[in-house]
Order: sequence, then C-alpha cells, then structure tokens
Amino acid sequence: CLEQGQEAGSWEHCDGDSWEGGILPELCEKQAVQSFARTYQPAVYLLLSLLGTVGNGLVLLTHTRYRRAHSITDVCLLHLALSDLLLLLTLPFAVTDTLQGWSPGTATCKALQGLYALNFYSGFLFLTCISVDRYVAIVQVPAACRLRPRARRHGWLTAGLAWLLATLLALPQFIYGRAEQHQDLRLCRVVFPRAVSRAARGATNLVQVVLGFAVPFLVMVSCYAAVARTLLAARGAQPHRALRVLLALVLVFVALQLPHSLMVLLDAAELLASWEVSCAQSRRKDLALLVTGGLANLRCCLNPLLYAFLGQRFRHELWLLASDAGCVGPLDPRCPSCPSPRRRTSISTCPDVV
Amino acid sequence: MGGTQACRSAVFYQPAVSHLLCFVGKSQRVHGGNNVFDCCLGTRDNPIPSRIVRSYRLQLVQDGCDIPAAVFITTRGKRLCAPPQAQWVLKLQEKLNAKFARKVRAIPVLS
Repeated sequence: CLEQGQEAGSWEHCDGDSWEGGILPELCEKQAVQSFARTYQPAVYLLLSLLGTVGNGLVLLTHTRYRRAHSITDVCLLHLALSDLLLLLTLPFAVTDTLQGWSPGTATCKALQGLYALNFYSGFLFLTCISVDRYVAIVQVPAACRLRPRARRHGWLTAGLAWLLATLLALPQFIYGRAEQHQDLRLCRVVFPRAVSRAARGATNLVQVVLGFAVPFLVMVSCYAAVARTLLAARGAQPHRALRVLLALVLVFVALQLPHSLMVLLDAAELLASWEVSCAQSRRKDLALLVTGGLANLRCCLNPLLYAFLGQRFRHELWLLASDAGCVGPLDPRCPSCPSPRRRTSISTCPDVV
Repeated sequence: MGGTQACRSAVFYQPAVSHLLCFVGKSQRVHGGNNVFDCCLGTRDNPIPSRIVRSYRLQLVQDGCDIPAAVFITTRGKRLCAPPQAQWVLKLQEKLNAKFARKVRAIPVLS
C-alpha cells in the first residue's frame, strides 16, 4: 500500500484508509485546551469575582459613606470600583456558559457580552483619567488651582463621558451577542454577520488592543513620568513612597495587560491577514489567550489595592467603617495603620501637598 | 446546512440512527470554554472517494472558526477539511444526503 500523503487516485491501491490523513487537512481538535479551560476558567474567574467583589465593594462603601469627592481622581476611583465590580459580576455567568452552555435567552446574552465589554473599556478610561488628573494636580499646579473649585463637577462630567464612550465601544457586543446552538451546546457568543465575520472580529480585536492597552499605557506612562520628575525635583517631602506607588501602578498594568494584548493582537493579525496557522500553533494560541485573559481580569481585583488601599485616606476610612460596624473599637491614634495628618504626603490629587 | 440539519432531525427521530450517521468521532463531547472550538484551519482541493466517507457537516465562519469548510467524516472517524464550494465537494454532499434519506426511510420507527 502507498504511503500517506499520496496524490489523489492512489487510494485505489490501498485496501484501507491509511492515506486519508495526508490527502486533506484534518480538523484541528482542541480537546486538551477545552478541558483545561473548563478547569482553569471556573477556578480563576470565581476566585477573581469573590476577591474583587470584596475589594471593590469596600471602595464603593467607604467612598459613598465617608468621602465627598474633591477631585476628578476621587470621582474616577468611585466609578472605577463600580466598573470593576460590574465586570467581575459577569464572570460567573461566563463560567456557567463554559460549563453547561447558555440556557437564558439572547437578551441576557447581549447584556452579558455588552456589560463585559462596556466595563472592560470604562475601566481603562477611568485609569487613564486618573493619571491625567494626577499629572495636572502635581505638574500643572497653576492650572490645577484654577480648576479646583469646579473639580467635582468636572469629575462627574469626565465619568459620564467615559461611560458614554465605553458604551459606544461596546455596541458591537450589545448588537451581535447571541445565544446560538453550537454543535451540541447552546452558547452565548458574539456572532458577526457572515459576510464581515472575519474582518469584524479582527477589527474588534484591534480596537481592543489600541483603546484597551496602547492608548491608556502611553497616557499613563507619560503622565506618571512627568509626575515622577516633579516629585524628584521637589526636595523635602517623601517622594520615594509616592514614586514606588507610581512604579507599581505602571508595572502591574503592563504585567497584567501586555501578555493578553499581545495575544489579541496576534489573533487580530491572523484574522485580518488571513494567515494559515498549524493546528499546534492554533492550540498554543488558544491556550495563551485563555491564560492571559484570566491574568488581564486580575486587574479588576488589584485596582482597589493599588489605587485605594495604598492611599492612607482609604485605610483610615476602612478603620472608620469597621468601628461603625462595631468590629473594632473607636479610632486609636496609636494604631500603625491609621494616618497622622503629617504623613499625608502620598501622591495626592491636591496640589498643595507637593 | 443540509448535513447539520439532517443530523439534528435524525437525533429527533431515532438516536441509534443519529449515532450511526452523525457519529463525528467524539461528537457528544461538551464544547465551549472561552470560544475554543474544533475548527478546520485550512482546506485542500483534493477529491476523496465517497466509499470512505460516512457523513459530513459544514463549518461556518459564524461558528467561531476562521474559514468556511466542508468537514467529511470518514469511516475511520477522521474529520477531513475540504473547500465548501468545490464541485466534487458539492457532489459528494448530495450523494451523502441521498444515502442518508434512504437509510432513514428504511428504519422503522420504534415505539
């Protein structure tokens, strides 16, 4: 019998199907990646939702209870916590979709896909706004002082615009989210019209990388670099703690978002340039998208730690919350976690601390 | 769409037939998982003999795969990817549809 991979026609010389693998490409099976997804996704997503709900819930609670927003950053932190919380609450639904298929209807699927995309984008927009506001407050002190009386109103306006822009960016998911039979399971997916499917998926990926990573990254790095220069130039105050916080913000952002963004970019290039990849490459790509996707969602859990908890004011408010709830005694001035007025030199939005 | 619809109606009438005709290797496996789907990544225009083909289904771009394809399931359970618009592919599909229709008529409905 002839070897595999022979030309058409040679099959007549064979008694069986020994050649079939070579003559036409085989379907790429991804059973291993699928079963990994069914373990990884529930474990990681449920853990993230649990941790993130606690963290962002505390930020929302302390902000609404004790803080009257004084700056754009204050308002953005509140909305960032809300956005992260909403995104994390969609994850358990994604887990049930993965494990059991989608039993609610198409309307619920649109809501799930849309809310995920909406909060994905709004989170980045709030992070970007916070870095710009800190830049204005610390580097452009005269402008900050001029704007300060209207900061609260500007904050709400900024937040409103961010939500609006995020909603526009999430429109494809709201419009094309669909509960659809996929072989033996009903799944909630974004299904673009057939004629533009490939291009639309590629374009959506590209927009996600540009607006969800590249633009926020560039804005953050340039704003925080300017802030760092100003802090280093300012003698006296303790710039090192503030610089460490800035460095942590940027590094965490890059560490969590860069891997996933690169994979999404690769996927977009493949879709738009019509590259043909091998089955092994395709499996590796799907696996990498899965793992880095979990990492990217971790951002929503870390924001409360990085943006709120590192600030002394938030820790003080947490203490107030605990004492209000009767968990701890009244505020103890000796407790190490409580701020003393003199130590409020961390990166603050208030220009007069620099 | 003929193939997939045929398979579904077979499932509806008679699970044993569906198993016979629509057996797609591990077709009963649960799919999903962050949009990780089994897909044809490429096709080739090399005709295959109908005697080694048991059934087929169509892969659509909307299914989350990058390209459209006709997937022929061989008697050995291999799934081969062919260009959906090629003449021989369309002919083979018709042949399989006809074979399928004959078999369904031949099997009595169980109570």
